[in-house]
Amino acid sequence: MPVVTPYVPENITVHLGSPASNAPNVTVSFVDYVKNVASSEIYPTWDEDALRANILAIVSFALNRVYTEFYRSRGYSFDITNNTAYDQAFVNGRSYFGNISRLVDEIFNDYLRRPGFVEPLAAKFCNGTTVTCEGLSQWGSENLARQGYSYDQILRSYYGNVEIVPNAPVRGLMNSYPGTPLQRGSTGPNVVVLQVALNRIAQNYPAIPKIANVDGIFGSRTEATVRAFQQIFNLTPDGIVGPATWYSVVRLYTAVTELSELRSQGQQFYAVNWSSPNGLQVGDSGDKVRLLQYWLSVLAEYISGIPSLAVDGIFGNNTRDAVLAAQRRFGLPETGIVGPETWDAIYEQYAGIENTTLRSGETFPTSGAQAVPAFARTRNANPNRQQYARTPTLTQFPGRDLSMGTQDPVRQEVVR
Amino acid sequence: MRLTNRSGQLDEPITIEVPDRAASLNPNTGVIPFSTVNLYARHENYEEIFIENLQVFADTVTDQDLELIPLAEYPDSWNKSETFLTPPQNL
Repeated sequence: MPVVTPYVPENITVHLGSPASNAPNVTVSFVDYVKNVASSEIYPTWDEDALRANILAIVSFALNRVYTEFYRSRGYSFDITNNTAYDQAFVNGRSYFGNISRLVDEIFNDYLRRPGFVEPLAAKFCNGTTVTCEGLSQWGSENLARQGYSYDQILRSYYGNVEIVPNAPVRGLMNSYPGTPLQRGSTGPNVVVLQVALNRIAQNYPAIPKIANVDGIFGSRTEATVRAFQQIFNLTPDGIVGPATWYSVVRLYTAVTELSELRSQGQQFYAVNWSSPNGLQVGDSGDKVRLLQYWLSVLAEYISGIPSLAVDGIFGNNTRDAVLAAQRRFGLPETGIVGPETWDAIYEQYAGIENTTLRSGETFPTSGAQAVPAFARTRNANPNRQQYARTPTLTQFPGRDLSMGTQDPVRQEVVR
Repeated sequence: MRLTNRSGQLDEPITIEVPDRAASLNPNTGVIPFSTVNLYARHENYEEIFIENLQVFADTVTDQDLELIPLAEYPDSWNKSETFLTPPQNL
């Protein structure tokens, strides 16, 4: 996850067995890997649109494994296995089919993702007859192609709203670990990634204190959070993020956000400059406004002076009224413009609420069953609060509902 | 027995008898939709390669890459060949 932009590795290392088995690894170029998998998974005689849909799913799934460092973060020396219970089929040394080979050369660096999210879709698939699953049905895709569906229509009918990202950059395999340990005094984007990931993990592990300011500076609060994390996961609690701690963070982050699952919470781009906008005001729009509105709407649940507002990403008069009320409350100049001071004041207040109420487990807006299983009881919860439970970003920012396609894999079986 | 050209390719693809294309378009035909071929590649300076059960489908060219590994100067007899087996597709 911490590699911000997904990429296509030049080579991929495949383990020829189930993950923990004592089996050899082979390293092949990514193009050859995709040709091999496609030749092993489907029949070359199928309609071209069915082949394309399947190849895109194969590429996406492999890139998801690379992006999430699924096996590397568990200490394995490979990127993917050839065991179909875990990953996709790969037969070492096998032949490729000519038409599949040509298609793969054309689209090996295209992948699927959900709009607004970064990670390559964990595009699972099954054959659709003896095995059915959520995701693409291989026989079903051929069936649809023969009914005249194009490859993107086939993919959308199984995976819901997905977009095809063309021409992802190709580069050597990268490790997300920054190379030198992060510790007190470290700064920069890697620290942002660490802070963001720890904050998200802290939602599921309430004993980990949240880092109030995601600022890219490894200070005493970050260190305390790292220590708590290390204690929980049986690492040496030294407050220094070396490879072991880093990859534990990656693994836990991938797990709590279900990034390697088909229905994941999704990963949005990290913004290094979350804090201190230059001055948001009426007429502005975008993610920062959305974040501001979200914080204000949480404050509105607790502070009677602040009117509640919609989180729509557009700085209108309602947002301005809420900002004015917040400024009044915090003793700041009532300008209706959100500069650094107002932004920080609102965020501090929000973070305080989040910290205390999440601990006591009463009525934190984000405390849906999702975020903290221990506090899953949401009696007479405000239904609006439920949407805060699914949160893909930095803070408890409203997630989006991920909908699957309409194709029922079972129904899509070819008529017997 | 075929000889490759200087680039290591066959000039003409080999044609073999295969099941009808329709056999691979429906999961319930009960017919294995491909023919299998065993392939054996040799060159005096390289390890021999056996490919077992290479699959051939109707109207499709199957490409087999052969990565020949050079032999050591005084090769051990047990180390002169490699075998790759393709398991059947169980779609």
